[in-house]
Amino acid sequence: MTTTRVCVTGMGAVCCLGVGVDALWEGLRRGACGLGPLTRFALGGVPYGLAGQVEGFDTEADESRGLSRGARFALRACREALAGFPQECRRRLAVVTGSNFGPQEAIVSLLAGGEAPWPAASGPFGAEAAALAGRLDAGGLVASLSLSCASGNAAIAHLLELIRYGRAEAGLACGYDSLDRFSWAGLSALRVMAAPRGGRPAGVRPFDRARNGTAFSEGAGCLLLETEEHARERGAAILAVVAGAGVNNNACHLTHSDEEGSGLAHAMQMALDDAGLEPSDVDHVNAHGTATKLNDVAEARALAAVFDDALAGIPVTSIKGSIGHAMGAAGSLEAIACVRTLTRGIIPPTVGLETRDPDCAVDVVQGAVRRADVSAVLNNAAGIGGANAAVVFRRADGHRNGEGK
Amino acid sequence: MEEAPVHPDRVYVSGMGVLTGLADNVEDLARVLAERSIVRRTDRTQRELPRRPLLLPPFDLADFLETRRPYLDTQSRCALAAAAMALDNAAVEPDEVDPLLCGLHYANSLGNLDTLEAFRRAVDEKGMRLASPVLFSHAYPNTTASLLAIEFALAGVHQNVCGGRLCGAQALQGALMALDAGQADMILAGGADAVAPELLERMWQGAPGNLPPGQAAAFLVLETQDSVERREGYAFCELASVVCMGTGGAATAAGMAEALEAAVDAAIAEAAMWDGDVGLVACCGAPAEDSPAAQAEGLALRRFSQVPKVGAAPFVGNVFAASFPLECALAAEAVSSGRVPADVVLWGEKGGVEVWVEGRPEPLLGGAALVVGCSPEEVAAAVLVAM
Repeated sequence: MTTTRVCVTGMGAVCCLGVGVDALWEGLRRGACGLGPLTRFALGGVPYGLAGQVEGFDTEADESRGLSRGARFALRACREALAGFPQECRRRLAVVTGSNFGPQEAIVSLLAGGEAPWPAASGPFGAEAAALAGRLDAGGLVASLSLSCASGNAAIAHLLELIRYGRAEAGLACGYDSLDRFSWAGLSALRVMAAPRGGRPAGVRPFDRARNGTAFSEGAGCLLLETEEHARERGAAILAVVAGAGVNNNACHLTHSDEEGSGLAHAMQMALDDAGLEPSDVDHVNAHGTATKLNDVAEARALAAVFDDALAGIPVTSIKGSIGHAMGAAGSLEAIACVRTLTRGIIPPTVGLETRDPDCAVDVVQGAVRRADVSAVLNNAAGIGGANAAVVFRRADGHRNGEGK
Repeated sequence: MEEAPVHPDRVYVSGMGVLTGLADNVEDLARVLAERSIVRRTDRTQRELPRRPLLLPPFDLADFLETRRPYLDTQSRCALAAAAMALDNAAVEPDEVDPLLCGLHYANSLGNLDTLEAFRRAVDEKGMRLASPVLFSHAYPNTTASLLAIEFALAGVHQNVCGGRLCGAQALQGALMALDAGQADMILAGGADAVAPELLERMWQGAPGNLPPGQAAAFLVLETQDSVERREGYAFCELASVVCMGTGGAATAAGMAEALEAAVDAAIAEAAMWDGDVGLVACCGAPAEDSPAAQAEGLALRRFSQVPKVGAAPFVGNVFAASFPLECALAAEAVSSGRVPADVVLWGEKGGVEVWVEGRPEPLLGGAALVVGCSPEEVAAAVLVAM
């Protein structure tokens, strides 16, 4: 096993707060909320209509023709992450995608009698990832993962391993998803979405006593990862280090939560072990924080199990109150927030939180940004089917930042 | 890629499970392939290639599992049965292993399309409001992986690759990396693809030059040397390396062949072997025999012209994510038994390039088997070594 340091040298984002990493970060800093009424398709009687849609995005651009809506977001995010990356290095650039639904609309079209929009010898997810890589001139290994809402973090974890193992020197880890009628119908059937209650409009309120569900959203988040050596050779700025990752499965039930959070706790511990860190080394947790009744409590229990007494001093935030639950993109967009927190010393607030649920005994950042010395950040993600993925990021210099810029 | 990774511990194949249209275990599959290896010379006209999608015979999951589930997608049934076979083959007792150190690396290309189709129909007929949560939760691309983890208490490392035809190789590569990194003692690794015949037929008709698609699942139980020894398990062989690479955007046979040769070189180097150790090459074959990928396989394997080659694809069809794990299982059976499982010649001359040579039903010469796969997007190579 090598000890190659794997660095983040580029990032790209598309979400309901806007297009670009700066739009995401400024929105998070301001405590903005990008959620609103779903307008992309008719709700068909479904009682849940709060969503995070990407607006003002030119998805008909020539270069993205033939890609699904989600993959177009991914292409845009990848291009942003690759800014300044030399063309000559792209021949071996790996691409790892993570998505819940991939080209679902095209798949449904095939099922309804249309032609398969992918080569007969391939599959829909693989073909889409390959098409994405082709448009980026990325000639390295292409992997498309689907681990439900843990997909974005799982993509980062997988690329980390590929680079450590020498299968790539640089690569893109991109989580993405878009909203479509069939997945919305299914997600509503799972009864995890926020609805108006007690005269209040629907809202996503992570860790709040009155939370009653999440709101699904669309977008893409991309990290450019490369070996420290590769980054230094090309003079790239190192934004952060991907120190470790853990991906596992609760192995208990297909749709029910692991109420004690033991699976997520194990994933966090795997990530810490992989990073060679003690729980007390972690300065901040970007929680999965879906704002569903069971999941937030389970995550709080998982955090308590891993961090024990140290938990009291660790600020926790969930950005889902701002951008909703971006499914395959969730972990990726949250990873971008983690890296910005490391470089700026600012933890964004948990939008929607008013009164913390006493059953969620964690220090949730609330109301406004919190400035903090941050050296190591843990990013959590979990999904239907029991998949969990945790990733640890560290500052490139290993120090706490303290600047609070 | 300058240096081969250091392997702190050997990784063994301690169990195998395959489910195909020909046979439901690897020994029978090897035997049936040998019986059907009707091509003796490089004469393509003698081949009896299948003309329709190659379907699994009806089977009762209760023959494989005690658990009863009210609903399962076709792919999930197939994967659960093959996985149960593999773990049974490995003789893993639940109290011998720590679930947190047992993982899953799973691959599927097509997804749970049968369930997604049922869900789509229901939504179209009854409306979004009455969508079925059961169908929806079984239509997720990672549902089968989750069911495998739940059924077999695989609570450790977990991966679900939904890629192209060689994504099964990626599952094996990921498992090997995780075992090498000490993240698990044992990983069930493999892939499955199985969708309804009508859909398979329709997909195939869209690409008439292609090999008919099939239904199959194939798994290997991969285990560290320590784990096998601790529980006194049986190791069929060592999985010494798995290398997956992109093709660098190559569109020509020569470009793909260059990538495949690089993967083969890396796989043999990481296994600390040399070409002369390879006594068998198991080939995924290309879905379309006139394709650049098919020619690339031939070009890249010229250096093994005297080595027997096997490949199940013409007999079981294009089984997508199961392709590479299936060939690995055949290779493992060969190096374990010391016999070439089939004397087949699958392809003839193509554009002046001798793509395949005749194999011989003789004892395996050399202590290792090479498994290769080539597609326009990616190439893969693995080396399995006799104990």
